[in-house]
Amino acid sequence: MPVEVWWAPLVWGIPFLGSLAAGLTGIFNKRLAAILGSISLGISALLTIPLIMVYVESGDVIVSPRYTWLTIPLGNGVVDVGLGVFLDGISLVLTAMVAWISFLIGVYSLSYMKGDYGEHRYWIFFSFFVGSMLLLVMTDNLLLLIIGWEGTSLASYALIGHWYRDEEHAWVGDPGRSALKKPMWFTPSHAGVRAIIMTGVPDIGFMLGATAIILVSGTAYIPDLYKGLAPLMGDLASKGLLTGFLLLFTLGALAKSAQFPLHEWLVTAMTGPASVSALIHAATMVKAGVYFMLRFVPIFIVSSSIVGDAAIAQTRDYLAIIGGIGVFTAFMMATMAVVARELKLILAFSTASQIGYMFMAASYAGMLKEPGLGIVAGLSHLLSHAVFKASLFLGAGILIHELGSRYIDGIGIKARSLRITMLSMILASLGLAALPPFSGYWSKDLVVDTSLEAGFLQASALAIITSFLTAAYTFRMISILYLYREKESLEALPGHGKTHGEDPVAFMPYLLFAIATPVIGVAWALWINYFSEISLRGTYLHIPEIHYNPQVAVVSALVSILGAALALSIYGPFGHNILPKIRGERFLAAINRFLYDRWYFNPLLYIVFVDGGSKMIRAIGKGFEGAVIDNIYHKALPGIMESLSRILRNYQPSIINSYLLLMLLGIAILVILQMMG
Amino acid sequence: MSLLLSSVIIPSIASLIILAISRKASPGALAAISTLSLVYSGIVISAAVAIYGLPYYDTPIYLGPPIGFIGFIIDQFNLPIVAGVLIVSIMVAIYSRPYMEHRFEELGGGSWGVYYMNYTLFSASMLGVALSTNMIEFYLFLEISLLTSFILILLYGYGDRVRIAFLYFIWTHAGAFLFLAGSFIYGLSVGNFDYITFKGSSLYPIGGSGSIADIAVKWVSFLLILIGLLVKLPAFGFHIWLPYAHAEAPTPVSALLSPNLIGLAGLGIYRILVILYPDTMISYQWVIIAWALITIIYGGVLALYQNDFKRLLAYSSISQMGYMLLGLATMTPAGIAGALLHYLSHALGKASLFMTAGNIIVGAGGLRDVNKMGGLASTMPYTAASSLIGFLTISGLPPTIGIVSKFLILMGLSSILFAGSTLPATIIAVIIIAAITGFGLTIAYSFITMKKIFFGPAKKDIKSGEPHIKATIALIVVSVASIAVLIAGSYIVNPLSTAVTTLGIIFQR
Repeated sequence: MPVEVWWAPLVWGIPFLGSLAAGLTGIFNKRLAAILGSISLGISALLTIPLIMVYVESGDVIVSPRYTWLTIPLGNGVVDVGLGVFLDGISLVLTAMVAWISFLIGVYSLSYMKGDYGEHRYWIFFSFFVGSMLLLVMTDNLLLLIIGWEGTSLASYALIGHWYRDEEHAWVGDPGRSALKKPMWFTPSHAGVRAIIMTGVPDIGFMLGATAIILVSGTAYIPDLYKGLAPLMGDLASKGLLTGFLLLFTLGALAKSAQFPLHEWLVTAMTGPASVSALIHAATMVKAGVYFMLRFVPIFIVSSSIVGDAAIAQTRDYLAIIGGIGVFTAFMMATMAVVARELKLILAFSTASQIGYMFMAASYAGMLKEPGLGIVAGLSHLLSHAVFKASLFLGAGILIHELGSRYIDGIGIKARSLRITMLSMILASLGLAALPPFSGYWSKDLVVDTSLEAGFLQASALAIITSFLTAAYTFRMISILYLYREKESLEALPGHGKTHGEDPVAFMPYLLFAIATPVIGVAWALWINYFSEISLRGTYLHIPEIHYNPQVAVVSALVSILGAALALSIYGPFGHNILPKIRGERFLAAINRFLYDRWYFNPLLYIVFVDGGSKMIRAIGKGFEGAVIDNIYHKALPGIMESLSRILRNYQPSIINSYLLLMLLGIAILVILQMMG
Repeated sequence: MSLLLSSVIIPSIASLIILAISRKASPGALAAISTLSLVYSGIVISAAVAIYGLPYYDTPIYLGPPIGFIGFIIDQFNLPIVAGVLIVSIMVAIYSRPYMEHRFEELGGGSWGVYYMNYTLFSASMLGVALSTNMIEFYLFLEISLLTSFILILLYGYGDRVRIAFLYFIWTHAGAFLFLAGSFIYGLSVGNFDYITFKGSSLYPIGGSGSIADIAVKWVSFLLILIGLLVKLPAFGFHIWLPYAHAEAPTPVSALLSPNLIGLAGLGIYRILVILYPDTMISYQWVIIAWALITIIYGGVLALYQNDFKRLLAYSSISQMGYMLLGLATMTPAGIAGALLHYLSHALGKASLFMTAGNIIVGAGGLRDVNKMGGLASTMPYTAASSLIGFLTISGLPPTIGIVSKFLILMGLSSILFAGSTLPATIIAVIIIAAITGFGLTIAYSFITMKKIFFGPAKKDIKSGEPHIKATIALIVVSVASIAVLIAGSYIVNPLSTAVTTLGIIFQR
């Protein structure tokens, strides 16, 4: 029997109240808005502790009363949706992770955003963001999931464009640089629009899918879908439409998690404050797409096995496509990170890349005898990534803010002056580079295990190559920041004491995350089976016995160490001075440009959609609406009427005017009616 | 009991009083009379609903054949429409006071009495349309609203206002005429003009056109009413009057015209065509769905093309009316509920946006070209915030009611695409792509426009600031109402959802 906890919806409700409170009080006092906003996040985080205790003790899932709110009409009958929550393992782990990481990022923001001109607005959307994310992972029904989902889109839009006056320090990309004649630098307001369009438009596909599911299953209650989805899947599978339908349904998740070809919004999303980047990359937003996969892949597996072979085959096709997108994104983004110069941009590429691993694990889970393994792999990697990425972004925020450059070669050796930041950056980087025994190592191993067991050899190989690249770009970043010495920059070391990099309110959160990175890693190695039992509860999946595959463990450890060592040996002594040497070699320079300009994908998007779109719009606006429609209705039609009336007037001058014409028409209709009646 | 009648009559009487005392009374007093008379309507309707529940109707007057009953009703279906008309018209009455002062200064004079008299009568007549139970009644109120809005554009509009006023009058009058001709055929064949009937067990004479023996007559009347309402809506092809009228009307009038008046044609399609001609609707369903999708996309594309903020909003209204038409054309409970609810979403969203446009006209020196704006969020933060909420509402994003109506319309669409449909895969794919394009264009033009107007570095040559506090407060109330309606969704959405599934028609194929 599920345990009922009546107050569980407060966990997502309180941040919304915090957002409202911040909005109202901030009009009078910005600081009060900040305090109320962060307090609401703190309460929400604290409330997850008793939830976890109840969950662990009870041995079952947690539900709340449904708290019916809206009624939706179906074909015949209605379905009620409410504010209630449903917490199985996946939801609970994400809830706790989101609540705590967001709270700590909130604490950091208290220091980082102090005195900013948009502090009031920041806290409205920050709390709203966390509330929406918690809503979407906790809710028990599809409509509220969509509301939370779209809420994160809105909040990310507002926070990415936080510095709406487009000050140059908030830009991303090198000002003046262009590729294929398209500008490659982005202002905050521009990046915000990119984010909401690229995530909002695909969500329409998601909504079409979700509404079809509600309609045919006759329920919006998520746990009921394990079996409820079967009729729709059966119907679509018999027409051969199931793969397409599932892809449509997943469109929103691909966009939200910045998977190819919808990844471009994320790499320009660092125009917001660093705390926002940390929130988007670690706790909210991009993790929503992964949650979607972890939530629905078990449902697809269970439902399709009820329906039969056709549905299973088509579901597998779908899963193979999404898994392929995942591993391709992981590789593609890693190659870009290898050449990026902006600190936050490197981290952004790595996020999309790591999320690719999670998509891969969650999709390939469907091909396993024990789908639970893949789901646990995806969830573990999500958790470890959330922790080290939050640390990296918050640390990066301090580095950029204190040392006045967005570029790793611009920050250079001065970075050493911030000792605590250095310690956390290095610890967290070890997690990202997936060196044993740090957290990223164990979770990534599970992902590779999953894809090997599912029989995707090429994908596994690409994943291992990506591991190499990941370690390489991580250590390139660390080397240029902390190892490479340059004469001028040694002299330029700023004096100590004036930085708020050493402000404990700011550094405690990321130091904590950094320390957690090896701790989680060790815990993982020891208690992964306990974790999988906790996190698969309530998903109808068998709980697998997880053994690390020793070959994979050794190979991926070696690959990561190799990547790290290579980067250290190149960038430690030479630093960014390696770049002019590359520029000398035409072939290398072309590759460097190709990667630096993000495989030219962004300019291609602009050429096709922005330029092509505006040409089409101009053609329709000027050529059709202006020339055809306006002329027909306002020149040709009145002209015909005029000449018609002139002709009529010639025959019977001054008898027929337009008014009488109308009258005659009326009489004619009446006569016709009489004849019919 | 004539509670609903009084909600239409009191503002009408108030409009006469306004005209009578306009010489002596101050503009503030006239604004107060107008506002209070509409507030009275709001209170009396809310009280009727609260006390008697839904549906509530006045004791109808029976006029005998061929007219039928003349009455007023508020039921689950027109509740969102009535709410939209009332919230917007009350707030815009307050908003008009500072705005029209500015406009009168520009024009070198103007009569407060004429303005508020027409404004109040315009609002009352739209309320009358929404509460009507009979086609003749529907038509008469529609004519009053047309006449009053025509006068307001003629006297106080922008640009070539005389020509535009006549353009507006002739076009929509032609639409009204076609509608009337179609209704005559229906009424004279069936023996009454009722779309709400007070005899028999159900209020809704579902399939009422079934008693027209001759298929051709039925078809002609359906077509005349449909085209008449599509002109008023307006759908693609009939839309050409709207960008002129809505862009050049005085802004408070635009805020009423654009979301409120045109959406009433959507109510007409529901009340008359969906209820009285369900089988004909279903046989022409695909034509109407295609037309709706074209309207959504076309309006969105043209909105992206515009530089003039008010004209952009006018094209956006065309696109939004496509949403309503799409929902209704699906002939499914979800689609119909979504369409009727979208009236309210669009009313609140688009009214906020037109009021935003007005605030910028007053607050930034008559500025209308979005490319010349920029960075206005610094000087007009409250207008910027309200405008964002308005754009969220029309793009169907939380925390506004827009997300529910968009969700329901999409649900209507997916129920004919996926739920046991026999369409070929290519057709399904084309419709999905069209829907994503159409709904996506709304998101695109909304946020691109938001950026152009409010974000970026402030332009030095533009002096701007929040205009009169009354205008800003009215704007905030309308935009926040869109959030409040979502939170209090159970009062509007739930009765509508329940009622639409208990209509007991063959909506579900």
